[in-house]
Amino acid sequence: MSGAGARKTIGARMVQASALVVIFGILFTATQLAPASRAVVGTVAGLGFLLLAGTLLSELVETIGLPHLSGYLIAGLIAGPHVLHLVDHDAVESLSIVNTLALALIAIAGGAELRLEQLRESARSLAWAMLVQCGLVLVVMTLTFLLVARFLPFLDHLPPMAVLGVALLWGTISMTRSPSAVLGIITQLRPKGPVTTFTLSFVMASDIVLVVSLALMMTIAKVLVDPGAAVQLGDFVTLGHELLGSTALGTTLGLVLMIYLRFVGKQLLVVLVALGFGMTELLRYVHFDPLLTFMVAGFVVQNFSEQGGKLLHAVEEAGAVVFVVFFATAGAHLDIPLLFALWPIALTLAGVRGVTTYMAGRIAASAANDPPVMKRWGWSGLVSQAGLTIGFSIVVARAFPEFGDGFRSLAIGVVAINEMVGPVLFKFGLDRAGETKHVEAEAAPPEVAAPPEAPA
Amino acid sequence: MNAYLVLVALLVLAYAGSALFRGRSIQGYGLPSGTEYLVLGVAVGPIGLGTLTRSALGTFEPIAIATLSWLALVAGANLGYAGENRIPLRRTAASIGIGALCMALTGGAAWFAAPWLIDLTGPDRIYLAIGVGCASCETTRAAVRWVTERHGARGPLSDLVSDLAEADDSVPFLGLAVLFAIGPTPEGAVVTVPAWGGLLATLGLGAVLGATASALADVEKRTTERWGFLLGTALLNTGVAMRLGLSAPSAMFVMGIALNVFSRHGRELRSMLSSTERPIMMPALVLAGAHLDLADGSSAWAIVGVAVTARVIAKAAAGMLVAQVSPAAAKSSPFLGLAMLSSGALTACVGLAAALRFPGPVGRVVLATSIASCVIGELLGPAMLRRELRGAGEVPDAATRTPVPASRVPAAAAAVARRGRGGIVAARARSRAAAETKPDRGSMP
Repeated sequence: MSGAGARKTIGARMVQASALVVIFGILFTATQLAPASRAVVGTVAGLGFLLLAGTLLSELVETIGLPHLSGYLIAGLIAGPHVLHLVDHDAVESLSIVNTLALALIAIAGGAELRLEQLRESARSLAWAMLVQCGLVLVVMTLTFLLVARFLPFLDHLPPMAVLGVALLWGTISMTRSPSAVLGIITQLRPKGPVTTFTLSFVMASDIVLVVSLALMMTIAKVLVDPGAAVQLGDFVTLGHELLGSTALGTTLGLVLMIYLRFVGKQLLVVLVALGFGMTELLRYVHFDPLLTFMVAGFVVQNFSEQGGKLLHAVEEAGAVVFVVFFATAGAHLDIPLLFALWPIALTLAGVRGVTTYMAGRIAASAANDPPVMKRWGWSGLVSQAGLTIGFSIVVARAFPEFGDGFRSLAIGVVAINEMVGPVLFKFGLDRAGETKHVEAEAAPPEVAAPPEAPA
Repeated sequence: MNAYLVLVALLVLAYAGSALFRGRSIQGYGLPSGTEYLVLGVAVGPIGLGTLTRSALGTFEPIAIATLSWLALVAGANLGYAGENRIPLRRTAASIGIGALCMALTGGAAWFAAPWLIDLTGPDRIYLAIGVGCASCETTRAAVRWVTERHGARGPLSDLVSDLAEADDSVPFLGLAVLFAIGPTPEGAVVTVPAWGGLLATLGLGAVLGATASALADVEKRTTERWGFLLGTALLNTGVAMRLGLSAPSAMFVMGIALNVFSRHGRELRSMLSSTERPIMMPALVLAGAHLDLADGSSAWAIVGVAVTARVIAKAAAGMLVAQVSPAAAKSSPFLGLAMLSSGALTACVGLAAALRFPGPVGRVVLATSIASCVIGELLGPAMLRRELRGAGEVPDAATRTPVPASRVPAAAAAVARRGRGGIVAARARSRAAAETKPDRGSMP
C-alpha cells in the first residue's frame, strides 16, 4: 500500500485488468487440476495471489472512487474459502502470521503519525470525543443488544442478569475502532487536515481506554453471569502492570530505534520485520500489549528526535506488501455464510452503531467548539472495525464459554459489515472535508506552458 | 525452538547478508561460495545440534521454497549477463555445453552405481541420475566473483571464467524441470499429465507470469509497487508450480528470463532483483543445510562420493577442452577445470527442491550430493582459480594490493560505494601510472 501515484492511462488500467484475469485463470486452473494439495503449497500460492490480486484490484477500484483497502478486502473475499475457494482455509490461517507484522507496523506508524503539538492543539476535542463516543456508544449499543437479545439463540438459556452482562460486553466491543483501516486509508491518501489528525489521535488513544474498559466490563459481566463469582481486584493490578510495562518498554524501544536511525539508518526493512516478529513474541511472553508498545515507540521517535520521517518512510515501504496481504487475508476471513445467517441482527447492530457514532461525533464536536468540518466529518473514520474487535471478541469467548462462540460469531458478522463500509465512509469523509485535495494536485501532471511560436 | 525465534535468526542472517555484501561488490568477506551457511544449517539442523527440529523445518518450508525459488528468479533475470555486460553467445553456448557434460557424466555415474550401492531400480534410478546430474553441473558465479574481486584480478582468463560461471545456470534448471515432469503424479492431482506436458507447463507458467510481471512493471513507475508485483508473481508462480508437481525453481528461472525479454525496464528489474541475491542466499543456505538427512547411511554417502568424483573428473575434462579451444585460456594450466569446481546457492536450491519433491532416498541423496559438491567445491575451486589467475599473470603483486578489504578503510569505502571494487583497482592503476609520469617530489630541488 503506497501513496497515490500519478494518474494511470486507460492502457495501464487495461494491462492491470488483464493481469488480474490471467492470475485468476492460472490459480483457478491449478486448483481444478490439483484440488487437494499440501498446506504449505497453498500458503505460498495464496500469499502470492492475495498480494497480486489485492494490489491490482485496489488500483482498479480507485477508478470508481473506492479506497485501496476495499480492493484488498474484495480480492480476499472473492478468492477466499467462502466464495471461490482459490485460497483455502488452511492457507488463510497460515497467512495469519502476517497479521503479527502488520499490526506492529500499523502501531509504529500510528504512533509516529501523532505529533505532540497537534495533540496539544486537539486535546479538548479528543477529550470530549473520547467521553461522548465511548459513553454514548456503550449505552446505546448495550440497550440495542438487550432489545435484540430475544432473537439470539445463544442467549436462550441465560437468565436476564446474565444477558445484561453480555449486553455490556457487546457495548464495550462496539467502542472499538480499527487503527489498521484508518492507517490504511491515511497511507494511501496522505490527507492533511483536522479530520485526519483527530481520527488518528482518537483511534490510537482509544486503544488504551478500550483495554481498561474491557477488563472492567469483563469483571462486571463475570459477576452478572455467575452470581457466585467475586470481583478480583488483582486483575486490575495486572492490567496496570501491563499498561505501564508496555509504555516503558515502548519508550525504550523508541530510544533504541532513534539511535539506530541516527547512527546506522540502513536495512530498515529487515530491522522492522525482525522487530515486528521478535518483539511481538517477546511482548506476548511478558504479557505486555504489543499495540501500545509499538505505538509508544513510534511516538517517541517522531516527537523526541528528527528521525520520524525516516521511520515513517521505512514503515510505508514495508507496509506496501504487508498491508495488502493483511487486509486481503482479513477479506478472506470474512465468513459470508455466517453473515447470511445473522444478517438481520448484524445489520441492525452495525446500523445503530453507525448512527450512534455519527450522533456522538456531532455532540462532541459542538461541545468542544470544533470547526464545522469536524462536526460534519469527524465521525467518518470511527465506523471501521476489524482485527482489534475480533481479537476482543475472542478474549470474551475464551472467558465465557457459556455464550462465547455465538458472541464471537455475531461480532465477526458485524465486523464484516463495518470492515467493508467503514473505509469507504472514511475516504468519502476525507474527500468531502477537502483533506485529500493537495494529493490530487501533486499527482496531476504539471501543466507545461506551450512554447511561444517562432516568429515567421 | 520457537518458530518466531528461528524466523528472527534468519532475518538477522539476511541483515548480515545485505549489510556485508551490499550491491554487487563482495569485498572479500566470508567464504567464496557461502558454504559456511550451508554447514551452519547442517550444524543447527536435526542431524547436528537439533536446534532446528524437523517440525520447525516443516513450519519454515514455505520460506525455504520461496527463498530458493527467488534465487532461481535472480539467476534467470541475469542469464546472459555478467554484471551489466552481455556475455558473448559463444561463451554462453560453451558454458551450457560444459554444464551438460558434467550433468551427463555425474548422472551417468550415479545411474551405474545406484543398483550396486543403494538398491534403487526402475524410475527411482532415473530420478536419482537426473537429480544428481542437476546437483553437480553448476559453477557458482559468486565464488568466481569473490576470487577476482578479492585479488583484484583482471584479464582475459578472469573474464572467461566469470562468463562461463554466469551462463551455465540454465542446465540444472532445465534438468530439474525434466526430473519433476517425469516424476510421480503429485498428491491431490486429478489429471495425469505426460512428461512433455509437464515440461511445457513449467516453461509456459514461467513465461506467462514473467510476461505478466514485466507488463505490470512497465505500467508502474513506483518502485514499491513494482516490488509488490514481482514478489506476488514470484510467489504465485512458485505455489502453482508446486501444486501441479512441477519444478518451481525452473518455472522461476524461466520467469526471470521472460522479465528480461519482455520488459522495457529489464535493466532496472535486473538491478532490483540482484540487490536481493545475497540477503536471500544466507537464510536459504542455512535452511537447505538443515534439511540434510542421513537416514540412508553409508550406502548413500558412497553414491555421493561417486557423484562428486565424477564431477571433479568432468570439470577437469571440460577445463582441458576450454584450454585447448579458447585463446583467452592460452596461459592456463591443464587444471583449469578444477578452478570451476565451486558451487553454491543454486546447487543447494536444486538439492532442496529435489528433496522436497522426492521425500525418500532419491531426494535425500540428491540433497547430500549438492551439499557435498558445495563443500568440495569450496575447498578446491577458489584455490585453484587463484592459482590459475596468478599463473596467467592476472593477479597483481601483493605489494600493489591493499592487504585489508578496501571497504574497511573509510576513504576507500566511499570510493567502493561509488565505483565498486573493480573501479578501485582501475583507479589505483591510473594513479600509479600518473605517479610514474610525474617528477619525483623527493628529487625536486
